[in-house]
Amino acid sequence: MKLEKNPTIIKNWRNNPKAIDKFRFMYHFLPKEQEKTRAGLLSHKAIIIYCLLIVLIAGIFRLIPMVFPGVLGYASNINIEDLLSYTNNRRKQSGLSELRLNRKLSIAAEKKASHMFDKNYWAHISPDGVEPWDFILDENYDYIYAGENLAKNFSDSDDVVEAWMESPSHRDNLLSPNYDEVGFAVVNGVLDGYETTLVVQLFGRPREKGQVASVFQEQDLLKELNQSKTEIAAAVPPNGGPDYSLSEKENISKEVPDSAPSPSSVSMTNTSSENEPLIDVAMATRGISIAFGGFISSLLALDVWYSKRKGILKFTGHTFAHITLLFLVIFFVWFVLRPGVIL
Amino acid sequence: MFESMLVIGFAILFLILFYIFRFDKNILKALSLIITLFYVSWGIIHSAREARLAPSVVLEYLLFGLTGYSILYLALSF
Repeated sequence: MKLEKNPTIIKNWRNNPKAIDKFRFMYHFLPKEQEKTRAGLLSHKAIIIYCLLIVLIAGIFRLIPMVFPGVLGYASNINIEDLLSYTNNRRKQSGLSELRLNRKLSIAAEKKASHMFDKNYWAHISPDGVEPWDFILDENYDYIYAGENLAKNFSDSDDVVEAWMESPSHRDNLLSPNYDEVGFAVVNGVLDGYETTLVVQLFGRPREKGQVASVFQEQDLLKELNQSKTEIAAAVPPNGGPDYSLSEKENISKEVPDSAPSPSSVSMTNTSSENEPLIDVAMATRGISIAFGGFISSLLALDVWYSKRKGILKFTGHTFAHITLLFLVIFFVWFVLRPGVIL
Repeated sequence: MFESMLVIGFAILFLILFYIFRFDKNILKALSLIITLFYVSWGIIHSAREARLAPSVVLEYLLFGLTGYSILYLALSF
């Protein structure tokens, strides 16, 4: 059937500025019938611009923490009770005994977390050579076995423990029969310019079996931790506290140093962590990724629909494959990807 | 039809791999690169089989692959 153009409509269209503007706007979104190509917003030049924009955004998110530290960060809601509960659930499922929450290990974990924020590093051993065992020994915890798991940038307790379980070395720590006790610290601060929450998990088995914390001691500690704003004054030794510098470490043997703080005092202020930075960088990048992917997928879908409707045959790649790729990316970013790094 | 099913099949496979390694950012970045290279290769082979292989088509697959990789890299970097 021969299509006939209505000359009245064409004439009116040419005289109607609004129609012209509308056509110019839609021109960028719709495939071009005469050139038999995709829409302007799907041209090669446009795709290159999208890639450059994404790179620019990534660059901006890297630059902001250098200029304005603490503005970008990772929102989190992590607490020690949940971490302990999830850890012990995993151990129970593997037929192992539960770990008891130990006060000294928890204080050591908190000092380790604070040390990482103060010295701005993310590692088991600090740049000046301080090892995790130094923090444990400084709390007068005489151990046979000790271990450490670290996590940062996570949003909730469940993800932290799940991430540790997915990693063979961290799972070995969590499910080791060599440990009887555990200490946790959940501390907020700024690391590399990003506001984040560090989770430190220290494992231990005391040299004397009778020194393992009892259920009552653990419950008392958990009660204290739940009074998160309550501080129990720490006894500060005359020399101002343990010095974690390398030169000091070289002088310290593996025995407990004399200047260690009194074990009967405790200062536990970081029990649970709700961190709400100004801009949650994880959510922002996920949102931007999904927006870009969704926008381009929509344009491709519109391209397919309009081309079929108007019978436009284009010499281009497989549009369905492009849409599938972008849907795969969107699905992964939205449903699977979780913020967080373990060490 | 067969090739559409093949694309969906590989998409599901990669999604499963993404889920398995969801906590290891380095492996995810490597997987993203593998997906991009696989996608561009598939596009070139598919176009050649349909006698539609041309520089503009190859460039299109490269650019869409790069776009997918950039989006993933942005999300994985933070």
